[in-house]
Amino acid sequence: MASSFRFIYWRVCCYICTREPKRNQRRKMMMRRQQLQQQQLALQDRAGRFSGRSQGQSMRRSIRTSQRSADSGIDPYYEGAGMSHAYSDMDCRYAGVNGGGEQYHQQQQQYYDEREKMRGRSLNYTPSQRREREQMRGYGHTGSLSYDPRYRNGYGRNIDRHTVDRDRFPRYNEPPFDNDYDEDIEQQRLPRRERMREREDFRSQTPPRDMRHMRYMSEDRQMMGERSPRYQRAGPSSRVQSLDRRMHRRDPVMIEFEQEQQPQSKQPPMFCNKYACDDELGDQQQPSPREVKRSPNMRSQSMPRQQSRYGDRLMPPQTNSLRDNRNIAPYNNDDIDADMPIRKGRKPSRPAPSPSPRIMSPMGFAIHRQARHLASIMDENSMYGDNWDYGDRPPASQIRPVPIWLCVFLVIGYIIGGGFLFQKWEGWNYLDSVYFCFITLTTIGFGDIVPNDNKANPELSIALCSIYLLFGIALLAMSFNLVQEEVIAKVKHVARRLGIIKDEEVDD
Amino acid sequence: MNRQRSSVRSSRGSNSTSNGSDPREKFKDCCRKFAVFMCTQVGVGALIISYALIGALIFEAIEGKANNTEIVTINETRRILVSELWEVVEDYNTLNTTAFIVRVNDLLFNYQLNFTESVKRGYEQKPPGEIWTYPASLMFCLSVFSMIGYGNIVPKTKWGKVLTMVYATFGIPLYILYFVSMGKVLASTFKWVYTWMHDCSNDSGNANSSEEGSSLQLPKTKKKIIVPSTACLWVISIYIAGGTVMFAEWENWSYTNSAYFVSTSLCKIGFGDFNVGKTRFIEKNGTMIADLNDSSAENHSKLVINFIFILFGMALVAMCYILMREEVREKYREIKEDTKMCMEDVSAKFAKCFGTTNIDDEYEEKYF
Repeated sequence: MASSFRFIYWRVCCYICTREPKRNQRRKMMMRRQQLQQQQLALQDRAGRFSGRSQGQSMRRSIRTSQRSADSGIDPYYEGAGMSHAYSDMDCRYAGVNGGGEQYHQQQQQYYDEREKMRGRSLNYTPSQRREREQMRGYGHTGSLSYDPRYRNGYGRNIDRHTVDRDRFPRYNEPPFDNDYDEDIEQQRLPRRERMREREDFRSQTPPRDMRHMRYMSEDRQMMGERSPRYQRAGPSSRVQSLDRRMHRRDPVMIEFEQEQQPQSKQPPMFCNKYACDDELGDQQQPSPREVKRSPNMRSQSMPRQQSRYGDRLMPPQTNSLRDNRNIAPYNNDDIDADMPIRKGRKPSRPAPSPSPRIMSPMGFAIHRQARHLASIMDENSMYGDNWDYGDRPPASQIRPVPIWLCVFLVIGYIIGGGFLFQKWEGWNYLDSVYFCFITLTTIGFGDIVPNDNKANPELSIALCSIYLLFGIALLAMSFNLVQEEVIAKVKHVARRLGIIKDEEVDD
Repeated sequence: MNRQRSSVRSSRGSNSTSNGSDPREKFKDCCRKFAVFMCTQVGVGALIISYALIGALIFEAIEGKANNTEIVTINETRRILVSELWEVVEDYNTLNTTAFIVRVNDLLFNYQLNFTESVKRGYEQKPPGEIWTYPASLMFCLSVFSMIGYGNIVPKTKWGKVLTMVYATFGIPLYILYFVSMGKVLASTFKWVYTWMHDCSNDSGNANSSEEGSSLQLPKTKKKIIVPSTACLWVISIYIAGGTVMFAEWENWSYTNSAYFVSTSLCKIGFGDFNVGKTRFIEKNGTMIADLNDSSAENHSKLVINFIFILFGMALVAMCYILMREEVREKYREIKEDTKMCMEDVSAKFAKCFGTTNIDDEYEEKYF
């Protein structure tokens, strides 16, 4: 029930988001035109490089491109330009070899982020590919785009683009600090998986460590004088997506930065799952530079600021990403609240905080949602669809965080509604009905008030009551399921902020 | 990694602490330490006990002061019945057995219905002030936030019911927190004790083993020792047995009833047919009247001890739950691995039988 509720909730959010981007259409058009030109130029540069790609990928590339375009809400009529963007990812990477400069890197990052946003796919690469990419990037980073800890699971978990990866934090922060990355990943993965299996499991050590880690990183960067831009906060549901994308976006940047700081000899292990294999090929086709270019423009609020601040430097984006990494954590912290007045309860269309200037804009975020919705509408069994296997239980790392307020609201609404029902059925006064519903649903069960005290039709009364309670208990269990992790994470975060929790594990 | 992180964090922490003004920092540190303490098991235990104590105070105040209107109603009903009975006698004014029986039967039947209606509406023998003593409200609070829900004492007033809902909303998560943390503490303690005993028995048994043997066994002892479920069940059984004896002696229940009460309480069922600290009826002048003196320190202390007993029993249940779950997980994992290996063997044998050896080798290479 929890997973179906999540699914429904996600769909509703997507649907709501699709209404938003209408006002963005105009801006989108403008940006598209701008990007088109740049894209053309870029293509010519990269065309030579791209020839190395196999033919077999072209088909998929085209599909992905169209998919991506749909996702990003690109007008299908622009498809011609979109198709030409198919090489952009690879080209971006190649461009790095030429020392394409920060702009290129930015574009690549943007593009990468956009792509991740749209596809939310795994970016696992084989170690050889990773090295290859590093070289291509030419930034001397040992990191690779491939390192997406989220997908570094050999379980073949199905990852939906909608899902938020909570495992990102543990693994994400691992490489720079952990020489035994491989083992940690393995060990982390196992407990995570088992934890997923058993809902009543309590938080393991991984998240606190990760949160701490991220905090160090972000605070280190803050100490370096970087200030993160004031992002607009995404609403809870938008956070779901943005977390996903941001994680992806953050990955290469973060990894590069981390590896700048602490060169890592060991690369994270690459586990092949079907997403990885797909993505390796898919990486080469890419969201167009158009999109890459679009995002800066689309970020009406924050882009100008970020552009001015971050310019061409590599650091700031990573700082932001780190900061945002922390902010985006499913464990929302108070920083975000400070930054963004908007918090939970916002519609998904709310702009997503961007870790870097190149991250998609709020508009882009909404557009992506719309695009995703459109894509899903267009092709139910699309590339997105085949990522999500509903028969398989989503791992704990990919649970979409349904906002707490929604679950609380649901439960309260159910109890209040039950009050009215029992008032009508049993003839109790309203307070007694609500009291009965509450006491029964929380399984306390005093027994002072019971249904069918003096009814002419006992069977009907008992039957109705049983149905109500059946769904009520299930609803309660579902709510607990959905919010327990978030609540624990939030509490831990608050505690961490207060300095209660240092390095040791929380008792909660 | 932890060291690295802690070093980073401590450096960061030192930076932050050195910046703030001293009194404020001290105050903040005090707050922090207090909060840390509260998050420990001791803190949580203290928190839940204080929550129960405060809740008991509030409920006693609210419900104890209320007037049970049903008492008035019942008294009125009884008065009416008596006057009607007199009217019957007056009407006939003779010893007319049949008529008397018929009329009085009707009257009494009506009274019976009224009385049961009144009881349903919440009539109780004692006025609320005597029902809602402090220990009784303490037990009530326990039954609310531990979700046992005995039901022998229930709030009757409007505000009492609203307050019950609010109390439960905050009390149940707190109780779950207590349950979980105490369970963890007890589980680790018990595991340590068990491991220690296990090692002791192993060491004494292998005292004569050679160096090689002991070195071989070192990895064994270092291997994770899982407390078997039977040990947990034994612990729970001993606890229940102890409670049974205690309650049987105090409440003069039979051992069966006492064990039944303890079990249903620990399982959080809480029927409510047996209750600790019920007012005793003592015989006085040939009639059973409530022994008001019984609401004395003895009764109160019994209720308090019952409260502590149930609370600690819940922690033990949590401990058993955690330990048994661990064992179940281990067994499940072992079974899974065994099954996997078995299936692989079978498939390998199959392949060899049907001469598809090459393919299978590739398969094995690829996946292993």
